This record gives sequence, structure tokens and C-alpha cells, in this order.
Amino acid sequence: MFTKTSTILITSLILLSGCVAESAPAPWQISQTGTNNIYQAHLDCETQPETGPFQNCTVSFTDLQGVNITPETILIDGGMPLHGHGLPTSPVLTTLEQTGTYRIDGLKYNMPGAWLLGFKVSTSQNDDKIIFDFVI
Amino acid sequence: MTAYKTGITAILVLLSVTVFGIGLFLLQSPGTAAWTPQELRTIRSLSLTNLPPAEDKSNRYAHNEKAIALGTQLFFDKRLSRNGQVSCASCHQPDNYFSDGQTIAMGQDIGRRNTPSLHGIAYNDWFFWDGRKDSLWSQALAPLENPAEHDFSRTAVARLITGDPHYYQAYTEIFGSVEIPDQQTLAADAQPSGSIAQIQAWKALPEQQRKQVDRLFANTGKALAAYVTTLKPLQTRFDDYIEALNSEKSNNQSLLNEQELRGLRLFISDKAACINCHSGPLLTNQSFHNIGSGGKNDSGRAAAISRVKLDRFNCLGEYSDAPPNQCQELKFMQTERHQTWGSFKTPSLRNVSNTAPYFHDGRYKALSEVLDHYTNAKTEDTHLSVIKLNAQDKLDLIAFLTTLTANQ
Repeated sequence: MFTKTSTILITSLILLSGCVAESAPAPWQISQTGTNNIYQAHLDCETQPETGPFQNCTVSFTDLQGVNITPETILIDGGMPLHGHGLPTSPVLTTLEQTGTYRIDGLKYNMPGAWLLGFKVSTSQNDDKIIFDFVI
Repeated sequence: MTAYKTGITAILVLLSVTVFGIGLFLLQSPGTAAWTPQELRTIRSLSLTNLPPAEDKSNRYAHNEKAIALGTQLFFDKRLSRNGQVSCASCHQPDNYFSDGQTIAMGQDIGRRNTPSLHGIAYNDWFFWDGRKDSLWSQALAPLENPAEHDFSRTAVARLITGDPHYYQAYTEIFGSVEIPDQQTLAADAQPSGSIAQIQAWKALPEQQRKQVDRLFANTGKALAAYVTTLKPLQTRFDDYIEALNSEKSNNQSLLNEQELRGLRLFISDKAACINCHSGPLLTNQSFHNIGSGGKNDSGRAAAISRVKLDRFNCLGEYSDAPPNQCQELKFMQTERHQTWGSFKTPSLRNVSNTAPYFHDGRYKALSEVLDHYTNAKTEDTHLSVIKLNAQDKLDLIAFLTTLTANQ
């Protein structure tokens, strides 16, 4: 019985403390399949998307079986269709040592609302357009 | 059994604490209804207490006391103009929130854009309405050479600093005496852009002397920026209200009246959507937007991109104190002309009710006209969404906006 009571107490305290404590910045890991259903992009960011600061992310690309691919070209673009504007910056992708993983520099958002972030990847075999849509 | 009772009692105590907390929250809540947790987060995000000290990695003298003192004197010195009648303070008037109340700035001649207030300007990422400068010190240089403003010249600035014993001593104490151009051999009126005579005189200078003049010119801007950096955002009634919310005092209801609170609620709502761009402690997202105010006569940001990129006084230039990896805004700026065409920098709304007229060209004299612009604006080819506000909404919003103005 004592154990049950303690459990209830601890659980209640945790629930209560959750109401007032500020949560630590959470990383943002998200994957998306391309519109041609050929490739996938995997975003791995240090923080959730928010307005203001630069968002530090890497992105990697795989086929649908999860095998890394190294596209010949990668284009990055994004924006807010409802407001008719693109990204406030011009992000740049840099190849990292790990095959198929790229660092994204210069990515930021300037308004709350619905955003798109897209990658157009081209290999010698195929093209695909992978679009993440999210709300800030 | 005792343990069971203890458990029940503990839960009841916790529930009581929770209910009491909610009750306390409702008692504190302002206006006609309580703020939701999301609304509270948004309101708190506008607090001045969230502002860190203003930093500019490209100006190592930004907080140097001697640079501040020199910059203060330069800011008010009318000798920094061709006719001896114009100083920075001519348009950035201390009694007018460092603005001038004019539609378009007037120096030696009629300018092109409205004069912004300088309180908190050091926090900006970009300067001028079109962001054609990427630092405060670099911005401070442009009016000195602009024919419509100070109409001075680069060598004239160098001659004044090196020829005035007080300025010379103050300058060398801060920046050292190396690379000082020779006063005796320096052309009186030379700069790399301006009249043909000024450009020819500039080209006639030895390269080493041109670099010395550029160095002195850049340092003059850094001293001016050091002074302007001291012009911090002023505490407003709205900031007092946020502080009262944070300090859990129950007297916050008297800080904003019912109409102002309705205006605040609208301001942060999706309905008015002001917060979309006027966000953060300075009530600006530091970004460029097309709100239908630019166009054929002024393409705004689109025309500024190549200027700031090629500016010898930008963050990546040789006169910047910042390592290249600290120039993120410049390195990754949006360079697509079609995306930036007709866009202007979102202005801060601090002191907005006392810093009319409004927009980059000062076209509106009253806040009511500004709100009419947004409700009447076309959404196609702009960054705006449809905004519908009735007459009472507009009055409420204006009432709230007045709470963003500080006593000077």
C-alpha cells in the first residue's frame, strides 16, 4: 500500500511540476518521402523550428529501403505559401564526412504559421522532390 | 489503511493546490477574460527583459567608453556637413525619440525615406529601411557622404578628425596612431562615389592614403555606433504590465485598461496578425516584407542586396572586426530579387504612437491610416493575408499601441 501511495504521490508531483517547469530545447528529427515516392529525406535539427534564430540541422537522403544515396545535385527551398514569400535567407548545404549527410547553414524562419521546406534531389537515375510541411 | 488515508489526503492536498493555483491565475488575469497559457507565452515574449546586451562582433569598440564619448560628440557636431548646419541629431532628434516627425528626412536636401527612431536600433540585423547596411557602424557612414544628408566627404571627415586637436587625441587614444592619413597632403573633398570631381580626387590619392582614409572613416562610424548603442529601448507601460504578470502581483489590472487589453488580445491574435511580423521585445522580426507599400517607385530590399554584398564596410570586409563565421546574416541573406522586390524592414513598434509619420516613405500621419492600409491592402503580390477589423477593433488596437510608447 505504501508503495502505491508513493507512486501516486510521485506521479502527481511529476504531473504538477510538468505544468510549471520550462522544458529543455528538444531536437527535431523528421523524415519525409518524396512526391515521386523514390527517395526520402531525414532532417536532424538541434532545435524545433522557431522564429528568429538560425536552426542548425543536417539532412540525409535514402531510398525507400533506407539505403543512403548521394545525389548529384540537391536544391533547397522553402517558404510560406499562405503569405506568398520564401525563406528569409538562402540556406547552403555542405557535405559532411558521413556519406549522404549534409549540414544546412543559414536556415531560419521569420514568421509563425505554416511553412514548407523542400529538397529537390537528382541522381543519375531519378529526381525527387521532398517537401516537409510544418507549423511554427 | 493509514497509508491509504495518507495517500488520499495527499492527493486531495495536491488537487487543492492545483485548484488554488488556477484560481489565483484567474484572479490575476487581466481584462475581460483570462489569458490562455499560449497567450501568456506570447505576451511574455515581447518583454524587454528578454533582450540580451546588444552585440556587434564587427565593432570591437561598441561598448568602449572612450568610443562612446567620441561618438557622442560626433553625433551632435554640425561640422560633419558641407554647410556646417547638419549633424546626425538634425534628423535623429533626442527630444523626438531620435526621430524627426517629418515625412521624409531633410538634411542638405530632401531625402528619400522616413527617419527611423534610434532607441534599440543597435539590436537590428539590418539597417536602413531596405537593409543596405549590415551593421550600425557601417550605416552611420552613409549619411555623411550622402548629398541629401550631411553632403560631407570621406576625406573631409578625415581632415576634421585629424585637424581638430581634441578629436585627434580622442581618436588616437581609442584606435591608435598608426594608419592616420597625413592632414597636409589630403585632398579636401574626395570619396569613391559622388560627384565626378569627388571621384577623380579620390582616384588621384595614393592607394595607401585611400586605405588610411577608409580605416579612419570606418573607425568614425564605430565611434558613432558606440554612442547609438547606448540608446536602449525605453521601459513602457506595457513592459510594466508584463513585469506585473511575471511577478504574480495582483495589481496588474490597473496598468492597462479594458480597451488596451482588448487591443493587446487582437494584436497577438490570428485575426489582426500583427504579431506575425511585429514580434519579440522590439516588436519586429528584423525581416523584410512586401506589404504593398513598395513598387514601381521603390523596389526596397531588392535593390539593396547587391549594395550590401559589395559594400567594403560590410561584415566580411577588411574593416570589420568580426571573423567570417560571425557574419551569418550577410553570408546567408536572401538574394532572390523577385522574393525581395517591394519589401522593407519591419519597423519596431516601440514608441510608435509618438513617432509618426509611418512607413518607409512616411505616407501615413496617423495609426488609423496604417490600420486602414492593412485592412484595404491587396494580398496578391504581397506577403499579407486578409485582415478584417471593424472600427472598434481598430480603436482598441490603437489604444494598445499607445502603451508601447515610453516617457522620454
